[in-house]
Amino acid sequence: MTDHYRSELTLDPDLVIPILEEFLRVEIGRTGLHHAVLGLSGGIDSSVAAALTVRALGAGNTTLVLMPHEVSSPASSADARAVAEYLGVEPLIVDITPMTAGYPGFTQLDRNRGGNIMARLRMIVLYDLSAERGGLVVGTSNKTELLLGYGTLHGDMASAVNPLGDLYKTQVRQLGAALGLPERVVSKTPSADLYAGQTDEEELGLTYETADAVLYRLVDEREPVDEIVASGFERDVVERVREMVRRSEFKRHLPVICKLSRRTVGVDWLYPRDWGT
Amino acid sequence: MAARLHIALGQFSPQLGVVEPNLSHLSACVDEALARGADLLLTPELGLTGYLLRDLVAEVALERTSPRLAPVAELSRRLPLTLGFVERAGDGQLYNACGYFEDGELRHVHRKVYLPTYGMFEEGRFFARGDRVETFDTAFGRLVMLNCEDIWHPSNAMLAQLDGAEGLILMSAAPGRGVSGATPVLGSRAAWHDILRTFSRLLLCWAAWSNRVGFEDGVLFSGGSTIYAPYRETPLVEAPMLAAGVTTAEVDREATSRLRAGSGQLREENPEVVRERFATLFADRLPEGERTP
Repeated sequence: MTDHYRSELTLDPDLVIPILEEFLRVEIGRTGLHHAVLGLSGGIDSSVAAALTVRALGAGNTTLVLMPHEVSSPASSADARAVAEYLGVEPLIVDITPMTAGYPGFTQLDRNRGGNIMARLRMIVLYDLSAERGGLVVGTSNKTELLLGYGTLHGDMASAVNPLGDLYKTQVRQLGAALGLPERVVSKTPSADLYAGQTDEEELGLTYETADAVLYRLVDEREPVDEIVASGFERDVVERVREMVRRSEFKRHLPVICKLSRRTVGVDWLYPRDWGT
Repeated sequence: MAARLHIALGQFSPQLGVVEPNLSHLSACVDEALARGADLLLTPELGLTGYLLRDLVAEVALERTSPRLAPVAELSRRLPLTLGFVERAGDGQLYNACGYFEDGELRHVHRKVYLPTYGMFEEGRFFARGDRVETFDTAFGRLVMLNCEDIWHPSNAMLAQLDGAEGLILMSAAPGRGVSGATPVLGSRAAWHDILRTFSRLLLCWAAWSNRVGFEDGVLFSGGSTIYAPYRETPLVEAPMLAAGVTTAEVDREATSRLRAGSGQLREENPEVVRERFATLFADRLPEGERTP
């Protein structure tokens, strides 16, 4: 990655953090609610989202939930506990192993299906707690994941409000450091922790640094593939990233609806989400 | 002519898609501005309704004579003010409008000429386009109102200059964006300041920007309302990025007037050059009778 793009992806946390805090306060507050629920995995994304939420709403208005499974790494839970402690929140622990055990044949499923089920069970826990506590589920998907489609639809991608959705993974890390999160959490190798030894970068086949640099040029700068390749990136990497974005476009939309009437949800029914608030 | 003009910039976050609840923002700004001794209150684009209206545009539209604007006119007896609203014209068309209220009356309306319809913007889909930029006389001299994107088209500023504007009011619901490159301020801020400083200098007028705060569907409106004067490089004042409230500053009208009289910029401006060139440059767009042979 050239120095130019490394610096383009550099943020001033003192500028960004207050904006994200205000975003959470306003967008949650306008629903009439003042409480938030987040799943805390011990990774950088959920830790940063949790830290921002605690700053926005206060520790007393933030529910942090650890949802380990028997295949989860114990180190992840330890990191999540350390983050919760740093934020001054006593976390809830919901072991999802009995929930997967109730799904016929779960242990026979391949990693993809098993991982999706775990992600969706965690969503069920978070949304139920949000109903119990009168709060909203705060999302933790970053821009890199959203663009690459590296997330489970109706699973970890499900939330009401997402403070990280316009920040690349390497930018989330910068915020994590500025927010004073434990060093281990900021610097560790990212993993969805859906099976032993899993890492994001191995699964994606590229580093986040490369993914972010290529995505920044494709998305933010609207550069054509040839131009990105000409500036020193491998063609197969750039084309693969672009193809991942294309193939996952459906994950960034509501289900496609067959237009029959003169005014159709998702087509020409055009109202702001924040209507009347 | 009063030597000084004390301008108040009211930043607030309107409730989206309603009218009456937003009058409270306006009256709170009037109270605060008066307490600070202001002569004039400027407020943001679509301050009466919120910005991201989409299909709600028709639901919040008001005719100029609507009794629902009467409380605004009433407030202007206490303090002259601007307010952004959706105007329903006699022919039913809907405009993104800026109103100037003074002494209990709606004295002037500017209909946004340039409706941004690209990227994150879709105004051209919901509003009709205004077709003129006119100055208007006030208790504080001849002024012009522009609405957000209007200022990005220098032809509007040129018309304001030719029509003798002493002050330029820019009302916005401008999204704040651009956090790359480790800059300590939003990238969008630099662009607005460049434009205001430049037009204040070129038009030899004060240029006041009233921008809103808050979020709508995740879009940040980044406040930072500010005022430039032609006799100064730096802004007279700058409001905070996120916080609602009233910010005030005094414009020195005498200093402005001396610059306007002493500089050749205004005296030597020759609209004939523009007129002649327009006639040939856009010959195919002009009616038959107006074309230069």
